This record gives sequence, structure tokens and C-alpha cells, in this order.
Amino acid sequence: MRLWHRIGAWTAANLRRSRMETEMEAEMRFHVEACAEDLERGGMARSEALRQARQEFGGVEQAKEQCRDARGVTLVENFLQDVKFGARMLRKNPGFTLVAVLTLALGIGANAAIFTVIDAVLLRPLEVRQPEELAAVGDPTRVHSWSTGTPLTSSFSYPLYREVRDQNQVFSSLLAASRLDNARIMIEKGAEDLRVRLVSENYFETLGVQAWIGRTFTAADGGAPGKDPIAVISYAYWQKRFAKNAAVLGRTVELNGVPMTIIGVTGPRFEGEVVEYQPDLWAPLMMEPQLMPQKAYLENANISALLLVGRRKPGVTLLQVKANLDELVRRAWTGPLAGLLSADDRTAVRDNKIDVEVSAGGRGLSQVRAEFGEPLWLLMGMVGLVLVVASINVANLMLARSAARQREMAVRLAIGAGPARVVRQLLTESLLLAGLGGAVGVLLAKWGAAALVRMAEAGGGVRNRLELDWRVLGFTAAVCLVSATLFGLGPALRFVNVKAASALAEGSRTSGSKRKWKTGRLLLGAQIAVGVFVLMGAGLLVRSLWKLKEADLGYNRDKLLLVRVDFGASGYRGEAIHAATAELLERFRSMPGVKAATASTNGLYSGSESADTILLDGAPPANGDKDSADDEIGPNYFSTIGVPMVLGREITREDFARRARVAVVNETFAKRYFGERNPLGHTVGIQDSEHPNTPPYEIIGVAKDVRDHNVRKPAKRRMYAPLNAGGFDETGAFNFEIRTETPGALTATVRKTVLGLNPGMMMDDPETANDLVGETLGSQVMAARLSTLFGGLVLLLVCVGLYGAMAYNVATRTKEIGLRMALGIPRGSVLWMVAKEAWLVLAIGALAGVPAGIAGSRVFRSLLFEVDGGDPVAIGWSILLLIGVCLAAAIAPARRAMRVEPMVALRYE
Amino acid sequence: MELLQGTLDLLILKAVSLGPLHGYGVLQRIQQISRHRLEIQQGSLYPALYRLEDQGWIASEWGESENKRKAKYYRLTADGRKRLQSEEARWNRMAEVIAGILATKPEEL
Repeated sequence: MRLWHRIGAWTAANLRRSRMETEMEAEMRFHVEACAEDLERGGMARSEALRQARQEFGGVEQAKEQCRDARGVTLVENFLQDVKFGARMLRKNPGFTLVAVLTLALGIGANAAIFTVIDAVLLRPLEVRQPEELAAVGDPTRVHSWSTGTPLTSSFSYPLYREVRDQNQVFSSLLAASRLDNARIMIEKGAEDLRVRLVSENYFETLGVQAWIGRTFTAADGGAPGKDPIAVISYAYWQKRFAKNAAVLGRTVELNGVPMTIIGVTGPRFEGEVVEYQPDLWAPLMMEPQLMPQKAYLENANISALLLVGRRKPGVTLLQVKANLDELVRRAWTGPLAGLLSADDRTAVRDNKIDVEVSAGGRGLSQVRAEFGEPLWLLMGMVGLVLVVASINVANLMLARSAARQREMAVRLAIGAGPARVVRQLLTESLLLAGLGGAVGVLLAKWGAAALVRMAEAGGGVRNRLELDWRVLGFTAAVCLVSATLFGLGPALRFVNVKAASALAEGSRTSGSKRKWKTGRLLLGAQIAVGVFVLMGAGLLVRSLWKLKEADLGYNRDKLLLVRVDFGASGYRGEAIHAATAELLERFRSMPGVKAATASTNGLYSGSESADTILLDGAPPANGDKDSADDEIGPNYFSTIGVPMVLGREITREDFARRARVAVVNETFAKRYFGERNPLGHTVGIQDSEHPNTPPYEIIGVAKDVRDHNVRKPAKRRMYAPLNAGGFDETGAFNFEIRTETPGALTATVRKTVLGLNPGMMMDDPETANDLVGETLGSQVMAARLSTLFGGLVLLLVCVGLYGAMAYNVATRTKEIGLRMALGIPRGSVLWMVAKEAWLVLAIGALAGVPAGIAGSRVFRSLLFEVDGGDPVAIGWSILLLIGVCLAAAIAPARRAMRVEPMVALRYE
Repeated sequence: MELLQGTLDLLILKAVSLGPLHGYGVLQRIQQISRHRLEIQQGSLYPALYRLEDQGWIASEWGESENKRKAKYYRLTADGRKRLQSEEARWNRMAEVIAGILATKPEEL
């Protein structure tokens, strides 16, 4: 109560300063006059009475100042005074101001840009009601994943979701969401691809999202599959496609051939629950069988395609949620859902520990977050160092200027301004500079953040989310403050130590400058150390990226063109799929420039993967690893993709012609199960109760390991069976691998060939293997490019700083240089005298920076590939670049030192 | 006599508690009730008044003086009254303690 009163009085006093002044004036005048009147009554003359009254009152100005102090007005008054004075000072030195502001804008802007991206990807909560109450169930990074096979809990099947939704005790509401493949919308005459999310009917209710116009889904819409062909569209799509026309409500559009009625539009700020994916349209999960007929999964407990988000009941913790869900899932699989599972699956879920992943859902689901999180924080650290270097530059600038201002400061101190006041004045100037730099920096930030995202190839979804919200602006303001303190405090404290009298004398200049050069050297050394540190980091990341791009993945990625065709989604069934595959293979082979063509179920970097329980020679493997990754491949697969056979031979056309039951395994498989023995001749079979009594395959060859899904991780043990030999789940989609000398040139032709077979064929665009691999390296690319950019920035700043310091040094030592020359010392050694200082700084800085860089690189070890902190190439390059920079910076000052005329220099006493 | 440090606030509160006064009037009243035995530095009066107002013990209002001129009048607030009471009690306690210390005879140690 007391405190509020004080704050209120303080604010009021400051806002009404001028009124307070007039009131004080009136009050004190009244006092003096009243006193004079009393004296007059006692017989004194008027003028005499007034004089005495004034004398008795004492110093009016002093009293007023004390009154102002009592009200806390002085603080604000002084601050405003400082700001006005500081602004004037900056205007009088436009050169200094420009350089300082630009330097700061670079440093602060870079920080703000990175933080904008971090905010969009890592920090910002969803635009929903009370996001802190939400919990994500399943693996929140699997936003586009889809699993067929043994049921999981990293994503959920619809029957499992239904059980959990109805039986849980921890959520007031639980939604499920999934992707819709190849969504295509037809509005009247126009068709286009669309971003669609399939969601449960309680989706909007759980998130607490209201419709902008119309309505959103309600519980009543979840009656039966196919009953409610309704859709909700996003505000952005409404704007883009319907020009914000309210008549969109009730309109029917065709989604994947199914007529759907638009019933509502969401508000402008709601963009779904996935960070990097902003849907144009939400359709009910209950429409899934109509929208994806060949992959209907509402009653299929083996297709896990859903991610769940629930709103926790009050007081329920995440741990409690997990405990409840673990129990529920176990009960579901052993109880109501047991009938939907195969015998194998039932065993699998019984044996494996059920571990449902539950995490805070307030910031949404995201795959990008997992991939880019660590590199972003690393870059944040680096850009912080860039700011430190920039601040040091500005600090040096201010120190250099302090020589010119020593007299001013001394005068201030002499007339009674306390040292605190002077320090406050200087700090205010620093704040002004930082504020200006920050304002320019913020302008750069939005643009820089967009460029950053583009550089990372993270996709438009993230770019749409970038905005300068209060978090970014607050962060920028904090950065400005830190920076101002960094570069302002040192010079400010410097001043306090200046004794007033001695500073007023002229001679003090030389002694002061020597000390300043020493501090300047220290700061420069620090900058160089930081520069080495950042450059080493950049060097390591660039080398890692290069090594990743050049890594031997086991196959020839330069000469491969890959295309994935989804026959199932295009309407083919059963034998027709096999026929179409064979037909396409023939057509590809007959294309000019194509050396070979083959097909596979999983292939290379296709995004799909499978694994099965295996039997070796009819029995489970002795060493207990009963699963293996697998793949179905077409004839001459390995020679097509350029993988040598280590033992035996590959599966050929003849094998296919006679439907031979043969298989190839990779090196890791052979080593794991057979050790030093020869695996040829043994059999491997699939244990799958859905495909019982599948005859086993004879192992006829061992292929070299292939890194087919991940550049960093070593190959998994894998067996390769012939395509369509049976025993595996049918997905209806196949990857085609086409070997050619000029993969890029054939992309269009391949596309035409596929569409030539069926104009409506669902296919991914053909891409070279190199491109596909490159796409998985997005975060690595971003880290490498940006750290190089920051390294460059640091180099630039160091160059400017070094140049400035050296120029200043030469300028202040002109007399000394002239003296030495007059005494006959050759110009060369004079040059050496000047240069020596710079080399010393460089040497010390490098000596400090290299070990720091090596130690620091351990922090981002996980981003490095086949290089470590002590990589000589990275270290070598950093040192070389810095030496180059030092040379460049030193040229002009050195030349000036050389051209000093002894007579002229000595004369300027 | 010169004022002991810190007592001006207490005196102002007391003076104003007897009825609203303008600044000069506070000075006069203090001198009056102290029977002119205290020396008040006039320059420190207004800072003290402003401080007390800032803290909420007194409140000000512009009004008319005896000879029809505008003057700022101060009066004691409810919080101020409580403050006066507690400060008075503290002063008395302090005086008691000091007196006791000063009256100590060597034999009582």
C-alpha cells in the first residue's frame, strides 16, 4: 500500500514537473512575503523587511533542488538532461556516431535475427487457449510419420486413440491429428495442391480455438465414418482463395474427389498445432476412409499415424499423465484391442515395455525443432560473441574519443558534479548509441531472419512464423543494455579516475594515451582471441559439412536418379501394381542415357523404412537380435546403385524369371549373425503371423554396407529380398533407382515417362541421390553457412578495430617516430616498431583463442562429423585469415608511419 | 537551541495535527509552541514538507490565506496521525532509555 502510494506520487510528480515548479515558486514566494509582512508589522521598512525575510529563508534554489529530490523528480530530470546532451554530442561527431551505430547495428541485428528464428521455432507457444495446459502424447517430432506394422506409442493408431480418449482420467479433452497425403482440392474449375490436416472432431474444442466466421467441428460431427463431409479452412487460405468473402460458408469443394462443405474459417492467428506446417484446411478424421481409400485406417490397429494433444485436467502433472497412459495402453492392447492384433503383435506388446512419450504441448509439435534446435543455440552463442567483438570496437572508439573529452570531463568535475553524475552522463550516451544501433538492428533482423531460414532450407512453414513479437523486441532491448554496459562502463569509469586539476593541464595528454594504448591492446587481444574462437568453430562446421557431402555412403550418389511412385494411391491393386512396376522399369531402361534401372520398397533416402522379425535357418537368431531391417529390391539392384558385392552375387533377372527364393544381406548383418563364418547357403526367413508359412530365402550374397537413411549413422543390419516375393506388408509404393551419367538432365524425361503410363499417377518429383541426401543436411548447411558469415563479420570487425587502433597509435606517436628518424634510425626499423605491437597482440590473441576453440568445440560435438576440435585445417585457416586481416589493417598506418617527416613531426610540440 | 537531527519531521507533524497550516504557518506554530526556544532552519522546512507529503503523512491543498492570497495548506492524514503517535511513543521511549543510561551511578555497574 505504502509502495503503491510512493510509486503513484513519483509518477505524478514527474508528469507534472512544470506545474510543480510554478507551485514551488509560488509557495516559497508566499512564505517570504508573509515573513516580510510580519516584520513590517513590527515596524521595519518594506524593502528592509523583504531583505531580511529572504536572508532568513536562505538559499531558494537549494531549497527547491532539495524539494525536487524529495519528490524523486531529479532522477528523471537528470536523465532527460543527459539524453539531450548526449544526443548533441553524437551529432557533433557524425563520423564516430556513424561507425559506432553501424557496428552496433551489425552486432545487435545479428543477435535479433537469430533470436527471431529461435523464437519462432523453439519458444513461441501455440495461439490457443492456455497453451500451458496442453500435453503432447507420442513423439512430437514425428509430424509427418506414418507407421505400419507392430503398433507403437510414438504415434497412435485410431483404435488405440479411441480407447485412450474414452478411458483416460487425466485429460479433459484429447485430440488426434494426422497428415493427409497428396491432398488436392477442386474449387469449381480450378484444382490445386493443398495442405490438409485430418483431425478428430474435438480438435478445435481441445485447443480452445473459436471460428472467425461460421463454426468449427463439434463432438456431434464424429458420428460415423463418412457421415460428415465438412471442412474448416484457415484465415490465410480464406484470404488467398476466397477473398475473405463470407459466402464461403456452405460452399462445397472437392477434396481428393470427395465433396466437402466448408462450415467455418479460423481466426488469423491460429495456424495449427505443428510449428512448421500451417494447414489450409482441416478435415475430420472420420472422413479418412473416403479421402484415403487405399489406406483406410480407422479400424486398423497396425497403422499408427496419429499424434495426440490433450488438455490436462487442473492439477494433473505430466508424470501423472504418463503413468495413466502407460497403464491404459497396456490394458487396451491386452483387452479390447487384443482382437485386432496378430499373435506376433500381441507377443511383441506383451514383451516390450510400454513407454508412452508425454511432453509439454504448449509449443506445438515440430520436426524442425528437433533438427534445428541445437545448431540454433550454437549460432546464438556465436552471434553473442560477434556482439562482444563489436562492443569492444565501440569501446575502443570511445576510449579514443576520451582524449578529446578529458577537458570537458575535468571541468565538470571541477564545478562540483559528483563522479556518479559524470558516469551517469557517459552511460546515458552509451545507451543512446546502443539504442540507435538496436533500432537499426531490429530493422535488419526481420530481413536477416528470413534470409537465415532460406539459407537453412527449412521451408516456408517456418518463414511464415517469423515475426518481431514482444519476446524478440524485449530480447533486443536487453541486448542493447548489455552491449551499452560492455562498451560504456570501461571508458566511463576511466573518467572518474582522472584528477580534475591534472587533466586540465595540456601535458597530461601523452601520459594518458600510453595507458589507453595498453588497455586498447588488451581489448584487441581479446577480440582476436574471440575471432580465432569463432573462426575455428566455423571452420569445423564447414569441414563437417564438406565431409558429410563427400562421405562415402556406400553407393554412387552422383549418378543416381530416384523417383517414388505410389501405385496404391493411384488406384492400382494387386497384380496390377507388379505389372505397372515392371512396365515402368522397361520404359526407364529404354530411355537414352540410362545405364540401368531398378526398384525397391525402401531404397535410398526415400523416407520409408521397414523391419521384421527374422529366422536364421528356420530358428530365431542365437544371439537374441531377432529383428532386422529389410528391403525388397528389383533385379540388379546393387550394380545399379553402384554397391559392390563383398561375397557371392546379387539378385539378377534370371532369379526373378524363375521366382528364386534368394536374398542378399549386408556386411553388418553378416557380421552380426555369422561372425567370421560364411553366410552363403544359409537361409533367412520372415516371422510374421500375417504372412505365415512364407518359405525362407537362401542367402546368395553379401553386399557392402550402404548408408541409406542417414549420413551420420552407420548402416543397420539389413536383408534384401526380391520384390514382390511375398512375406512382406504391401505398401503399393515403390522407389525407382535409375543409373545414368547425367541424372539432372533426365529429371523431366523420367517424369514424363511415369505420367505417360498414367497421367494421374501419384509420384514424387524425381531427384538425384545427392539432392535427397542434401535435404537431410539442412541444419548442417545452416550451421556451416551462418558460422562462416559470423566468422566473416568478426574478421571485418577485427580488421576495422585493428586499423583504428594502429592508426591512433601512429598518430599519437608521431613525435616519437619523428625523433627516432631524426636520430638516424632507419625507416624500416621504425616500421617494425609499429608493427611489433600488432604482432604481439595477434600472437597473444591466437594463443588464447586456439585452446579456447578446441575446448569450446566439445560443446557442439554432435554437429561435427569426422572432425574434432584439434583439426589442423580449421586451426590453420583461422590463423591465416587473421594474419591476413592484420596485414590488411596495418598497411595504411604503416605507410603513414613511414612517411613521417622528422622535422615536421618534431615541430608540432 | 538547535534541533536534534531528525526531529523536524516530528515537529511538523505535530504542528499540522493541531490544524491545517501553510508552510510559513507551520514555522510560526512550531516557534509558538516551543516558546521560541528552538532554531528552525527555514531552508530545510520545505524539503521536509515535500518529503512528508510524498510519504503520505500529510496532504496539501491550495487555499486562501488570511489576507486573501493563495497559499498551499497542509493537513495531517489518517496515516499521518498514526505515524505521529508511533513517532511520539518512540521518542518518549528513547528519552527514557537515554535518561536511564545517563543516570547510572558507578555503584550500579
